[in-house]
Amino acid sequence: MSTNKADKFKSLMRSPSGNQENKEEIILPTEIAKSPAHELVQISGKKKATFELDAELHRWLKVHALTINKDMVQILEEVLRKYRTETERK
Amino acid sequence: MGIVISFGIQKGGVGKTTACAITAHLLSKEARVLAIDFDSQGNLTEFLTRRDIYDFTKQTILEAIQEKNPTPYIVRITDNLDLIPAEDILSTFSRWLYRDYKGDATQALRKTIDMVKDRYDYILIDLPPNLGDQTINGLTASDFAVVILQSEPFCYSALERYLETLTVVQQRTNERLALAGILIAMSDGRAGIDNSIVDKAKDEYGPMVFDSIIKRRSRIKEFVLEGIQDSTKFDQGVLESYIGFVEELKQRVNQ
Repeated sequence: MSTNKADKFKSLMRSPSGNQENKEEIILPTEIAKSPAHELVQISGKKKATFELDAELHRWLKVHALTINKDMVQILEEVLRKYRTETERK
Repeated sequence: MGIVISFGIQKGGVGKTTACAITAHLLSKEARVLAIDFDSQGNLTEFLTRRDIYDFTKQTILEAIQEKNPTPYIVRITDNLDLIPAEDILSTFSRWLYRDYKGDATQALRKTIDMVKDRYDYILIDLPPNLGDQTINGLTASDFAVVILQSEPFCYSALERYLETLTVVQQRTNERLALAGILIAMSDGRAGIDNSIVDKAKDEYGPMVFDSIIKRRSRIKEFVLEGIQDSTKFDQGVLESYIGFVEELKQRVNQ
């Protein structure tokens, strides 16, 4: 069986435990970057950034973001802005 | 809390609305179901109500979103099946979204659905056949996506592009979105091309493809006029593949 396409989209499938597989993978394939939907999200003034985040920290952030009804990115942006202000003050 | 499932693909006339309507009908035999027509063609509205879509002017999903209150727009179809209708005016959704809506333009439908989510076991959304604000909003509001694949070449090429769209939505606007599966519909077992596309889809996408395959049946068209019938053996046979699909769907979304 050819599994190229099944592999490409495996992050869309949910594992028996209810979790989506391969959720840490956030790198966009070039094909996705061409899709009209991607263009739609590009107009929001955001820039894509890819990080390897500590797994435990990532888990906490995910749960915390859900608890306070915010996006993970919103929290990271707030923390980074605070850090920037403090750093620039020194 | 209701499980939200959307039916879509960027290709028209492939059986999305029919699959959505019959799935809603079958699920409602044992669960509370809300069907949302999110396509301005209003075919789901016509299918489930067997009424003219203009009977629902100013009583549609567009008004429900604009007023942030879906309750007055819910139409009772049977004891367990409700519908929020659509008609042509839904085509102004994008204009309203960017001119008047204050908030994240991808989340308008999700916020509306959230208000009634706890009243249903399943909420099904029939999406339009194009990629735009309605599809993005529909997918952003969904827990699961059913992708319809008609076994013909144009639809096959649309399949991969639609899955890419799901990936982008999952990464950008709705982290919990998952693919329920690819449903092969309107397949003609006598046509060689149909069979080779079915084989290719199963080969390339493996378990993402539902085992049940919906065959092209002319009786289905009559259901639009008569309503979905299941009292005769013949009609039960027509619905058999849909029943198989719904069983698979329930297993996948309730894992």
